[in-house]
Amino acid sequence: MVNKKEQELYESYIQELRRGTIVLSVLSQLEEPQYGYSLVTRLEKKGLSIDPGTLYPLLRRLEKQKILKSTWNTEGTKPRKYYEMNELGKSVYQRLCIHWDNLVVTMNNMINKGGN
Amino acid sequence: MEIIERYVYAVVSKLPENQRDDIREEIKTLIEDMKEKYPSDDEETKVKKILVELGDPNLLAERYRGTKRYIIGPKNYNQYMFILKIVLGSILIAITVASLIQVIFVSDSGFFSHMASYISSLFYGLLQGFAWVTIIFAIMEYQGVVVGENQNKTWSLKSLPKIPNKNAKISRLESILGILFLTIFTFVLYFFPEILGFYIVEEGIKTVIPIFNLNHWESVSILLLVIFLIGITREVLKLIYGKWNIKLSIYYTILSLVSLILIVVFFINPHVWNNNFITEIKEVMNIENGFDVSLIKIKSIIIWVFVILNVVDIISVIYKGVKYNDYA
Repeated sequence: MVNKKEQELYESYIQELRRGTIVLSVLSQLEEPQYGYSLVTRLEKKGLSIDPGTLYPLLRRLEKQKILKSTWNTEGTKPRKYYEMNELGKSVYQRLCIHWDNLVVTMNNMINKGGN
Repeated sequence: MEIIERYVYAVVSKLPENQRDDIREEIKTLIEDMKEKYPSDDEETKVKKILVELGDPNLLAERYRGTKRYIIGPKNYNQYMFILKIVLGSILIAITVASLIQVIFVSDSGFFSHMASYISSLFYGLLQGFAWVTIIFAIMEYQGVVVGENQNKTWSLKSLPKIPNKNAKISRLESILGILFLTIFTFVLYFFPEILGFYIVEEGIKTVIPIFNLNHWESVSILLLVIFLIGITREVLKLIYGKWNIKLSIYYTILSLVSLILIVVFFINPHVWNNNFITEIKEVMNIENGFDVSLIKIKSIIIWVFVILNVVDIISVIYKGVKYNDYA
């Protein structure tokens, strides 16, 4: 039996894990320009559901931090803001990927052989 | 659709002016885009489901702002509470003392009217103190000022403050007594200068010959309030710092010198004194000769007492500041 308290704790730790990986997930999909909602569906298809109310402000923050650039596309019926990584973003993203690979190895080492 | 407008308004009204138009369009487009998630619903149900999914507009606005907004944020909260306690405590003491003096010297009204005026002054005084401290901290919060020392320095082992020497600590009692004394002194001098003088009781009749000139008192005594405020500032600074260091002793010295100069200016002013003080005493006491104290002598004694007390105080403060300075 999983009690309520345990479930709450579990969910709050899951939240923390997600918060730590969300920037990397978003950057991974922005080698090509994407607009907000297309990014939501793309991430969903890959198994990561993200609330647009979290993603949209995050995209703005990343743009403000100058690792994303945005362009307005007015060709369709509605004008949309497309985001993609700029040079700085790509460089940061590559370094983050290397760090991630190392982290996965370290974590797996700990989790799988933790007791010994 | 009206409900969309209302939702969007609820979000953007909590955002900075220059971002509103942009974010308004963004959210509207997002709602349009999200409609594809609910292909089988009618238009109104679609929109309602989407808005529920987007959730509380306040939270959404908060995410767009990126930072939480505070009147007084967590970084300044401790300092704010500290200063607030000191200021409210000082006001409480000052008003209580002032009211007590009033009860003692002006006994023409009853207990209940004294009580009522005490409570109402206390209420307004505390409210004023609370408001001013809060306003000042709110402005600092808005400007992004963080109160405290060493904000810009990177931390190192060296920057750990030394545990203050027992003698460097400033006792709170000392400051509180200081505030108490200042309040009594100023209040009596400001409102009841007539009680300071030469008391003669002859055949059961009490005569007081005031040492001050009561005719010009209203105009000359304004300076007392300035001296009082400087004195209170000095005591509050001591409470805030809690221990002696060079910075505090410099502030303290400057304030003391200014207030000493003002005290001297006050007592030198001939309009302050009752010039007939000696003659009146002689008249009442029927003394012709042998009472050769001049008013000028009394004046200079009073001034010298203030000067000497202040200079001794300043020297001891500078000594403590140098000796116990943390940053040496």
